[in-house]
Amino acid sequence: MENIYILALLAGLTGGTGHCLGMCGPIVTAFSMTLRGREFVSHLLYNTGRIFTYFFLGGIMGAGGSFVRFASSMETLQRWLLAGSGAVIIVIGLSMTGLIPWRRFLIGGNPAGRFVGRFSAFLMEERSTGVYFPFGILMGFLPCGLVYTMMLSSMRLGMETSGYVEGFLKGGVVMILFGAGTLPAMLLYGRVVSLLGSKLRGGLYRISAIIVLVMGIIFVLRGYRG
Amino acid sequence: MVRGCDIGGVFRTGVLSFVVFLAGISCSGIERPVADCDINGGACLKRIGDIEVILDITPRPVRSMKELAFFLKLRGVEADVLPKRILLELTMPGMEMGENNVILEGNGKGLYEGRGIIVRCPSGKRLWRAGVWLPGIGEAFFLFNVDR
Repeated sequence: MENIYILALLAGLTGGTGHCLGMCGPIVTAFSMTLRGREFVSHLLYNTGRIFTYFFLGGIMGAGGSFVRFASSMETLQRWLLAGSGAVIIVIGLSMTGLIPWRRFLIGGNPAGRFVGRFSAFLMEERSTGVYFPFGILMGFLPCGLVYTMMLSSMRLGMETSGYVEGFLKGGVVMILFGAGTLPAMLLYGRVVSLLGSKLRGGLYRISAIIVLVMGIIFVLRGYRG
Repeated sequence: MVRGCDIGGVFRTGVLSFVVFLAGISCSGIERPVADCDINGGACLKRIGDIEVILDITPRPVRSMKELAFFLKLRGVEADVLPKRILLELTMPGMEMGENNVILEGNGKGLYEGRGIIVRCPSGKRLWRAGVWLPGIGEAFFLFNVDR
């Protein structure tokens, strides 16, 4: 196995504990706190979706894509994605605190209220497990310095290949290995937070809700700041 | 009456401790290093004994996610011991950002040049460290802030 593949796996393993949990932790925390059953499958699907996106990004870089052009074209989308994720985390946090009476909205006559109610219900309890794969695909596009560095590695590896297909595959494999390296920490963290979410009651649950809320606000600010 | 072990309480405490531990890891930049080089103001100089190591990055202001030219000049080194190429390692203090190296090719007269990209950290951190290892000479580190 070439050196770069081992380095990608190691970058995922080491970065997964500190970096990924710091950056993606808030999203995982928010959805994990509201998971009701099938936690492991949900986390596995979410992370598989995320790694699928990494493969796609690495493939593009390996096939001769320009990192600078790609990054600048993605910047606006990524800022919206970051802010949007933050908004969703805020809604989850508010619902957890009980400040959004979304169950009452569901049976209310106001269309806007019903929309808020349905959206909150979706976030809080009415989710199918299959939702987590596309959710992971979307979250894979979130701006992340470590992912950018690995994309650069894919691009450099692609430069050494003879064709687009070989470059795409090699670049993609670098990113798959990186993503696989982040899996243990992300799965363990998700599992722990899911267990925590199902055990917490009363005051502790509300404190968790406030933490989730603050995380959401930080995400929105990061998206706004760019 | 002797109370039984509160398994639930122990579990909750354990889980909370783990989460606090993870939060601690993610905020691991406790010792906050500061820039010792104003790369946007001009080239930066470090000394290894009598040898001068000068780093310059263009275009200015130095921004992340842009293609940059890295220049390294060695002064006071005999021509026959000058390395052919130098590896410049870019790292972010307190944040795992993966391996981002720039290969600097020498011109045989102590000037090295290479192209690379400094990636952006969405956390807003802008402090980067450029490290060079010069065989038989020593190592030099430059701490600088990127503009954006």
